[in-house]
Amino acid sequence: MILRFTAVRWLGVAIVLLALILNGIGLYRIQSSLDQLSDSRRGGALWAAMQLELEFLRLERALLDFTGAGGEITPDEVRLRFDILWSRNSIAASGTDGRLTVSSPDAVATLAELGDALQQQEAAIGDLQAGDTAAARSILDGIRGFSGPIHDYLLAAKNEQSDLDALSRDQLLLISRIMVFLSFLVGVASLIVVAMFFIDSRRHQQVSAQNAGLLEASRAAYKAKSQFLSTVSHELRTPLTSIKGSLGILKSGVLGETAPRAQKLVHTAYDNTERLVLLINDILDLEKSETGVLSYRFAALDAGQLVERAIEACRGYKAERKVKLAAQIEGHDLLVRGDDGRMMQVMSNLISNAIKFSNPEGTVTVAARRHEGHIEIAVRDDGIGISEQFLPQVFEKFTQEDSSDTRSAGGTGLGLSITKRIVEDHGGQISVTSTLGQGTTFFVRLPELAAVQADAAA
Amino acid sequence: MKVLLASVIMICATAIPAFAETVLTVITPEGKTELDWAALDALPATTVKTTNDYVDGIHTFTGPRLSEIFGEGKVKEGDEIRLTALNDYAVTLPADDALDYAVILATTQDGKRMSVRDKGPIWVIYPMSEHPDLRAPVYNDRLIWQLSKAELVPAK
Repeated sequence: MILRFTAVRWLGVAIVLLALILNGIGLYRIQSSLDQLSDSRRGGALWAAMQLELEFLRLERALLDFTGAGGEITPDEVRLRFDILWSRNSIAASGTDGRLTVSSPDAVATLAELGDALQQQEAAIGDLQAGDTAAARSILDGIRGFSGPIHDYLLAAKNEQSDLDALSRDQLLLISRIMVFLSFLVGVASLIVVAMFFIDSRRHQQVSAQNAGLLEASRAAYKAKSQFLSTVSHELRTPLTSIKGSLGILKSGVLGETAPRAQKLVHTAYDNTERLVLLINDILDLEKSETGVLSYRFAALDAGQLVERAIEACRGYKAERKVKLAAQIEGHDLLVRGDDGRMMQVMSNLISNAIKFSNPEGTVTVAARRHEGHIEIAVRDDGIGISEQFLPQVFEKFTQEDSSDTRSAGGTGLGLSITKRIVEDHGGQISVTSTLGQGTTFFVRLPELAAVQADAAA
Repeated sequence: MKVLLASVIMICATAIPAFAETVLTVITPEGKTELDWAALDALPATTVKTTNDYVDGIHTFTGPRLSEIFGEGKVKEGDEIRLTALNDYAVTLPADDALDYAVILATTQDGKRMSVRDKGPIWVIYPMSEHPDLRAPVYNDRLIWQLSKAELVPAK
């Protein structure tokens, strides 16, 4: 359908163009026809023939006057008329612009014979004396016979001109008819093309309206789903808090000694409850970060202290992996403007990640320093590293490099996405470099807070 | 007055062959002048190399400028010039033609006088080869030959 549609439209355009070109050719052809039409110019056949006959009659009359009244007319005047007739004859014979004025064989012969006759009389005309009527009569006799043929010549010229006119007129008529038809065609084709474009644009409008509807529906569905997720998470947290509290009391031994085997089970249950709480918090944070309602309480924050506190907080994490944690703090008063709780979240996320992906008994180094007007915190592990293909995706939601069922690390894959959001809300940037098999370093860069501003912020 | 002038012209016209030296009659509002070959040749001559519908190829025509035969500075923009030939063919052209282009009254073609039998004695020539826009039919009609009379008609 669409293909046929496009084909018809291009056909319409092609017809319009073709018709316009043909019209142009037609107009060009009209020019030459107009040139031939009614060639009444001084060089034209009809004018030349009329002048020839007129001058012939004038010479004839001059000779008659000369023979009749004598004296009234001078030999010089007769000679002038003779010369002018001569010139008219040669103009008719030589034609205009290389074209014979009249082309019929009889007409051509008439001109040649008249030329001969004039040449025969040339000497007599030159010698004509006043009162020599006999000589004049002899000249008259020599040319008189041409009266009929010259008139026939005029008629032939007239006929040839009419034929030429008729031909040109027919051509003009034909061309103008074709052009009328072509113009009609252009009109119809243009209408079709316009209609095509109109229909096409209507269809595009419909499609885009449908798309907009689909987008709206999918947005609504997505929103409903994430709201559901958020509600469920909230509902889960309440019983979970109570379970965690109860397990905590059991674990502390306040209720009396438990058997060592039961104690181990309680520990396991408590650890997993804690993990579950973290997961649910992640999900809730993500929901908040997507709807844009993560809330912050900004204050002046010392990055050095932040790093030390974060290391302390993470000491117990995956203790069985025996990963060493080291702090490297360069300089003092590494102040940034930040939300203490959120930044702790960022740090523990990065550090726990580092521990998770570090080799057992490896080292995770957390460094803080002043660098190019920023405070830079680097979390470095010597673990498995991240492949080059995956590196650009680490900050996206729900992604973990090893997403198979056998993945060793656990987690929702939401942590880094939330971390990135928090760092950016602080006006900072987070980046990562990694070498496969050698380890990964995450860099958090936050704008440094000058001492004066720090006072104001505090 | 008009009748008188007309009869004078007629007498002159018929008398041309009698006074053989009169080649061109020039008429201005001030009066009439008859030019013979000596007077014509005394005027500054201009040479135009051109072709036209009535000759084959380029020819060299020489003669005085049409704008100068009426006297220096007489021809003004907007005037008209009426030219009449021996066979009473006549044409009126705008004086602007004579002012804008080197329009000449050719007295020789390729260095030779032209006879009455061959478009002589005077042939009005436009520089058509130099100015292609002059090849339009309307200018073709102004190439009057066998010229015998030129009249300046000032703009009203």
